[in-house]
Order: sequence, then C-alpha cells, then structure tokens
Amino acid sequence: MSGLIEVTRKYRFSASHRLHAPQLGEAENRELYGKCNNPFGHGHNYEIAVTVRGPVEVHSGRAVDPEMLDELVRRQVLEPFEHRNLN
Amino acid sequence: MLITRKAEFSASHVCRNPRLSESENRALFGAAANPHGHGHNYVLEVTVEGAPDPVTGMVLDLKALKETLNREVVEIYDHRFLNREVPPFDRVIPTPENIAIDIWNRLQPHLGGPRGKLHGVRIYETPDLYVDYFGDMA
Repeated sequence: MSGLIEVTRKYRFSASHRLHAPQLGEAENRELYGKCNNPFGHGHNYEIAVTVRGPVEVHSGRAVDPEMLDELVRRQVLEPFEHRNLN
Repeated sequence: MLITRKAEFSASHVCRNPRLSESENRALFGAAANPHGHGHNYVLEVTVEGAPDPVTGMVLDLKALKETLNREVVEIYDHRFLNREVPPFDRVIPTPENIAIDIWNRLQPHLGGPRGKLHGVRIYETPDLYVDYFGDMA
C-alpha cells in the first residue's frame, strides 16, 4: 500500500453574469460590486480544477478513470454552464 | 515553510495491463494503450518543507535540490521509454499516479533531514492533468 493519490484535471467554460443583490438598492449594489454590477452583465473564461483523492488500483495503475471524470464534469458542470448567462 | 522546485523531462510510455486482453486494455486506457507508445512533456514540481536557517536564511540549498532532482529523476527519466528502460515500469503501469509514487520513492531518501524534508510530488502529464502524492500517510 502506497497511500493516497490526488488526481487533478482542469476544465474551462465561458459564461456571463451580473453581481447584484436584490435586497440592496442600486447605489449600494454599485458601491459593493463596482463594474461587476453593470446591468447588461459581462463574461469570463472560467477555469476549474477538479481533484479526486483515492488509492491506486493495482490492475489499472489509476486512482480514477479519467474518462469517467470527464463525462461526469461535462454532464454536471460544463453543459449547464457553457455559454450561459448564469443569472 | 514550503518551497517548490520545478523540473521537466520528456518520456514515452504505454499504459497496458499484460493480464488483460487487447479490447480490455483499449476500454480501460483508450489511446494510451497503443503498444507502440506515445510521449509527454512531463513537468515535475517537488515541494520540501522546513524552517529557514537563521544564518543562511535558506530552508535548504536550492542548488543541491536541483542537482538531486537532475540526478535522481531527470537523468533517469528524460528521453526514455519508461516501460522498457526505467524500472519498476517493466512491471508497474506508468500512469501518472505510479510515476508520482516512484519519484517520491527515489527522492525521499535524499530529502529526509530536519531541513528540507520532502513534502509532496506533483507530476503534470499534460497542462490539464496532474497528480499529487504526499507519501504513505493514511
């Protein structure tokens, strides 16, 4: 047994958003969020790093199946977020 | 305090389990199972921990660390076919997980002192995939 391994894969998506707290007034929102409060929104290229921790399986030499991880992140994160207006 | 030093090497490998069939290997490892091999530009980050020496202001001699990385890892791995030329990968599948463990095992005897104790090994197989290993802690 050689202990635990952490495997990290990076993914990217682009999305637009606006930071605005509906409980606050226009001036307060502008003060708090600055340019991020622009009513028309703005976008970013986001990068996420997903880390999985586990022991290495002897028969595969792996701690995680990277194709399974890709599929999971694609379904649960990239498809909902990619080229969306998050608000 | 943690100090990280980077090194790079390029190597080829094949990810196959000889006890599995061709189709099982393809299903498990995908293109990485191609028996003729393929290569990567690996980036290694080695992190050591310790307190700065009050006289030198250094946790450890970073030139000595660079020489250790070159001697114990880069000279052994660089421009090699890992499965054929770098044990234990004649019998252990050279996934990035197992490469991280092997590099840890090679460096740990040289970085065990009170100053500059090995903390972690990170190996990038591609810019978007890396593995961290912190030794045999439960």
